[in-house]
Amino acid sequence: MEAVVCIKPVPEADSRLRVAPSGATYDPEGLRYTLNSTYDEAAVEEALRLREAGAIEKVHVVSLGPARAEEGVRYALAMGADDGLLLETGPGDAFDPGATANLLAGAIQTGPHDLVLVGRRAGDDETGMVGSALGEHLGIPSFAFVTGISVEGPSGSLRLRRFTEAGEEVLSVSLPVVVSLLKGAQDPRTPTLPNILKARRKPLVHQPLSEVLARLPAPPVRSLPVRFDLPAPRTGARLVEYQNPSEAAEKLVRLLREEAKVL
Amino acid sequence: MSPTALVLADPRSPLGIRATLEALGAAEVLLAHHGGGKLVLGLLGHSLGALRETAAGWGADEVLLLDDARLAVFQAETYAWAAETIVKRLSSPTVVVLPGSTLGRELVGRLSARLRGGGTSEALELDLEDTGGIRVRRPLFGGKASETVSLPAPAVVSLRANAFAPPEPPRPSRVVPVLLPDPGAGSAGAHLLERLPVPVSDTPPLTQAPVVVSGGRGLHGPENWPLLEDLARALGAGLGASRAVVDAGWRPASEQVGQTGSSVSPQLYVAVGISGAIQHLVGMSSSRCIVAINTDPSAPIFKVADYGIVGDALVLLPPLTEAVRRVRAGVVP
Amino acid sequence: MPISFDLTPEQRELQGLASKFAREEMTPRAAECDRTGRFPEEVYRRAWELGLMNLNVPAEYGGSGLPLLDQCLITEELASACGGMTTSILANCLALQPINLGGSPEQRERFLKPFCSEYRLASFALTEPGGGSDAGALKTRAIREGDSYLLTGQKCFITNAPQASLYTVFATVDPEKKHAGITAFVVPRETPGVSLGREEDKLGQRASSTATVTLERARVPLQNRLGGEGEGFKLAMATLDSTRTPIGALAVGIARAALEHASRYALQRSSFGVPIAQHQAIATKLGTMVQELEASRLLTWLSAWMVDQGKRATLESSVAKCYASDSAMHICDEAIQIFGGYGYMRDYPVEKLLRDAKLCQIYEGANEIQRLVIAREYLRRFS
Repeated sequence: MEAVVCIKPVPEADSRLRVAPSGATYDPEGLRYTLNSTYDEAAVEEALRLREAGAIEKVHVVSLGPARAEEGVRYALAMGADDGLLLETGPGDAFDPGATANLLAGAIQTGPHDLVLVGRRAGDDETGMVGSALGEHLGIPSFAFVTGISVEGPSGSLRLRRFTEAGEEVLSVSLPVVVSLLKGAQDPRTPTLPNILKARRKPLVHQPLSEVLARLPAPPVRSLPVRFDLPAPRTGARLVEYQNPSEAAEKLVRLLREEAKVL
Repeated sequence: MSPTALVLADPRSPLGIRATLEALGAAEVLLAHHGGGKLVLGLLGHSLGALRETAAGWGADEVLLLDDARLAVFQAETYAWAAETIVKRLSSPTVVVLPGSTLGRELVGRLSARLRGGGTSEALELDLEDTGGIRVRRPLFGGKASETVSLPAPAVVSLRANAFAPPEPPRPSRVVPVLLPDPGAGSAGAHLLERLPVPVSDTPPLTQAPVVVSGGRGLHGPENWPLLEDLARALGAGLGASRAVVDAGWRPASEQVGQTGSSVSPQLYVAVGISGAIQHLVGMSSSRCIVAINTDPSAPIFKVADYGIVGDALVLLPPLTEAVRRVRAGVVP
Repeated sequence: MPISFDLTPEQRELQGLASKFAREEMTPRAAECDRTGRFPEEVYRRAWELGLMNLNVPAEYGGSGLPLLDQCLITEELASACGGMTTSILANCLALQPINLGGSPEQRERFLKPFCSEYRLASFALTEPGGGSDAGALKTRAIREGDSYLLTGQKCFITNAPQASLYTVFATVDPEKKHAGITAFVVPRETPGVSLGREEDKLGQRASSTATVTLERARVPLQNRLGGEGEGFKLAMATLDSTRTPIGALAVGIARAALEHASRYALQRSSFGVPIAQHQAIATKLGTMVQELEASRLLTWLSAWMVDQGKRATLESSVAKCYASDSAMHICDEAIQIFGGYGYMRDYPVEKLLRDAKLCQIYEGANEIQRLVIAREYLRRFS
């Protein structure tokens, strides 16, 4: 059994974002990219632990992105993944989650993929859609909000725990399967310096996107960015006026829910 | 031709039902802005029982009922297939609106791929376009920014929880049973082995928490922290503290927010009894929304906050916790 | 190869590892250790686990054998979080370098390998109470007795001495011979006659430990002598030649932290209705600080690059160490000035940086000596 982990480089969490001149998206100029860290690191870690437990033989890493995405793939290799594939996009290429899943599926299809793992969502666009869309394009089941994977039960199956609002469910699922992790293994390992050096010798293939596109019809991009907004600078707090504490609480909660939309 | 909106229900939990109502409300407003259209609710599951009648009162024009053993456990693969069956029945489904629950958020990727249409998640605002497509505003980068995207029909959108109001007033709808074709889609190979009770969630780590509640000297003493912890639990928030209270030994250093402590950037930061020394502000001012509670209206924290309440934290905390609990009974992580 | 300032992907990865370690393990403890003077063993242990210690030990002995430039990249990242911890992390490189350079294959096998297979610390013991810069005049005696030497003397300001399991000690077999009498020895901590003074209470770099090591007829076997009698001075100088550059990088890390703190503060703090960064008085300060930082970094890179190319870099490494540490002092000083009264307070991180930076002007050859070396090296070109 072999696992494929899909990872994505995203701007660092503390990046200072600027609106691009087009107004439709953000300006990537000057941003530092990292492996979609908390989510993807946990997914890679989960796969590595399954390998260490003897449940799977190999961990492959796939990423779709510009050449700089190599760093994220290298990081996963230094963590311990066996090999990496970068579907290298060109300047100006932009793909929505559906198109991304389509392209990733095109690449994953050509190799073993008993278990396809993705992080909970990307730290930039945060759609959380690629995992289940990938399942559709690969024609295999997909499960999201998964909190644990274990190898139990009949061969050719996995046991998943997943979050639902009605409580966690334990499912037996058959392979192959796409799993989106709500949270992966805790405390993902940090690659050590010797492992970073060793990872240089692990196979990492850059595949120009055109090669994937030659096999697949060009995926339609279905969501077009129209505008990108950053929050306006703060002008000082709006003070809640009230007669009694309960009123203050009610008014504040309403503002947070309806105006700020953070509840 | 007037547009149609299809909402898929998540009847598995009270929270899912609330999210379903929000999706119906969102779809209704969307249609109303464009001179009306047909609002259809898809109710998928197995042995739905009394839910058939309840759902009929939620405000859709029509409820399409798919009660099938293959839908007993939610699986994106089979649900996407069943949803596609419904979409094919409808004359002109302009938009599929999914609730902001785990069901909707999982299904949006799969269903949009299956329908070969546009899709996106976490919608804060929806608007129909003249072309029949839909325009969606949604947050990204942890709420630090928002984007507006245009999706061609058939568009599939899942909503951000709590961003839309349920339909007002709810009206009765026609219930139409739909049979799923045989054989079904895919392997449908999942078996539910066990369902565990809803866990009591603990507070998340400070730097990752989507919400942070911090306390300062205005809480008057460490013995009052349970009040703050109650609010944090209700919000699913991480717990922070000002340097002053850490130095005073009221709270552990690991909770300190600020230049010499952790830097946090949550969706919502609630500063309780914190005056807002610069060293604190640099650790939290990039939070998306900041709420300050302080007795001193001239405290610097009010300059960076979005909302403020001038008053005694000890008096304000209990009703605030109560109000938060009412709107957030066990939120999806 | 043409000169390039583009780091390789591998170098960026190493930098990323160091930066992550600095952010996650060092930064959260920096203020506390500075306040209490605690030696954060857990940080050093973790640094060892990640391979961030013993960077100079060749791969054949289990180390990573990194080029000096890569070592400098790592050092800058670590030092931007805490100069004191970085000094303690680097101390092994300094202590093991004489074995690297002057040890026989058997000695390298025996002494270097244990440091790569488990977490251990070592100290470089050259300086004495009677004089630091005048290394030729050291007083610690080594008296040959059969197949061993008896070492007697005092070594002071020894980094990591309380925790080290091994010291590289420089002693003279004959004070009359001055430089030509100096000989290097590897002295295990448990050797009878080796004792420690109390831990020093320092101005800065308080997360590292410093103590005096006293040798009282400490018997060291002949097999622990590095090179021949009288070869110790050259070995000490060769060691310092190769470890001076990372001190420059360490100073760059501290200075970078100060500049970043000052810049953020200057954008946030307002006076007369605008952020103080918009006042020329502050902007010109920042302009100078940026120049000094950039120049310091380039000088350390140049020096490291020359060492990696196998070129003689005595002048360049002294320039890098001296300029970077003087600049770090100036940058930290100006950072405090930009913070104003807050900068003088312990609650703000910049005063610590100044105290940490100060040591960079003193240790591994005081800057006064560096200037002499630089002048001497430069003047050679004319003679």
